[in-house]
Amino acid sequence: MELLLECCGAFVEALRAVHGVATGQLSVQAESMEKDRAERTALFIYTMGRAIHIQNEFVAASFKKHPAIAMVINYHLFGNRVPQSIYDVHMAEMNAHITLYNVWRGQVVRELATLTKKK
Amino acid sequence: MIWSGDFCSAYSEQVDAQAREIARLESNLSAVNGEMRASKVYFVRKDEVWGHKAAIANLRVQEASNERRLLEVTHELAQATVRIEAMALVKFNAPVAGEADCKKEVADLEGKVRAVEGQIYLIKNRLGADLVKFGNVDLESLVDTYVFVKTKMPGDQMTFGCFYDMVAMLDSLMDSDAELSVSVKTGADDSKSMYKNAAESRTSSSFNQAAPAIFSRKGESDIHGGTVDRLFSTVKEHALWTRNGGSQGMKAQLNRELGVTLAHVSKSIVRQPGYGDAVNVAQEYLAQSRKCYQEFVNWSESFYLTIMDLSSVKPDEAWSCC
Repeated sequence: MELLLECCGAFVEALRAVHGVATGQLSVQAESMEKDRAERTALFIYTMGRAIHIQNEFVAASFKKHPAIAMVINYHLFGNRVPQSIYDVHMAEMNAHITLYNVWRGQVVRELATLTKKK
Repeated sequence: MIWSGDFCSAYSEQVDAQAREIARLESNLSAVNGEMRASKVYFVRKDEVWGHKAAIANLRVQEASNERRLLEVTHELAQATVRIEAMALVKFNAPVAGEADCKKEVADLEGKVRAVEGQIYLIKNRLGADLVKFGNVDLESLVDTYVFVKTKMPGDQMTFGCFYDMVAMLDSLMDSDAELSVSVKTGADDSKSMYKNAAESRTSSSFNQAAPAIFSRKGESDIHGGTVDRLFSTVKEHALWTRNGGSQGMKAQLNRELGVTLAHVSKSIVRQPGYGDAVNVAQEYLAQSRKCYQEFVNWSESFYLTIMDLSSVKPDEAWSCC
């Protein structure tokens, strides 16, 4: 869920950036806007229009090709990658374990064979 | 052979007649030649006359151009003379006239500054807002939108609560008295009376939230400045999102609720009489927001399937990693 969550967050953040401008303008010009209701209405409608414009950009880019989401995916892959050095260390450890396991397995097989002969 | 006298005389007459005829023809020929020569001379003359006429026309055009230029120069000269006279007058009455000129110049500059400020305002409002067009209506700038509101939405019957972007649309699912009470947090607590109806209040509230409240844990709506950590927190497992081939789960539930709510909203928008263009724009907002939500849901599911396909992980693991 993490990656999808981050992608969703990037999408919502892009809309939030547009809303934030209007929110700031509303709080700064609260008094004058109270006087002119049309101005406040225009600000809301215009901001939502811009948000829809951004939504359409995401849709046109099939979401994953949009820079905001592509960046999230790239960072996620980069953050969750296994470095080559660590991979090599783990592979060496794994190979040692496999070798040891094969030795023990050979011993067990031989002991079993001995026991079987004794019976 | 001996010729008789009559025959000889007849023959000589015939020869004479032929000689006369030849002479006449030669005369005619010379006349024709003369005429031809005359014609040739005529045509040459005619060409010469036409050439002269063209030259005369060119000269007249040049003359007209020169006259115009002369007039311009005369005008410029007159202006320059006036300026010189004015300068002489200013020089003569230096203190008073100079002050007046300064005031006029300052007034001109103030006018220019206002014009430039107006242009900057328009340009700032247009930045990043190109292609914002809904049907036949261009809302490219805040000024355009203001004009639209003034001309197409007179009175208080139709408000911005009729307009929905995706966040406002999803927040409309939360419409209830309890949700509306969790409303504006920044700068609007003291001005709840600014809003004409619940829809306006909810839209304003959605502007202050970091994410649509429907994706947050119940009772914990994210406010401005918050994070989106709790986003989709109700969909921790894929089975909660979709079950039984999509007929159950949160996705189906959201679709059902959206269908009902948006049908109601759409009807309420259409019911606004006398707001033809505004109603069309509001419907367009709603349709595009619905489409965007649907596309986003489709993409997230296809992304989940792609991850499973690419990495061959189990469904639970794919859902948790994507």
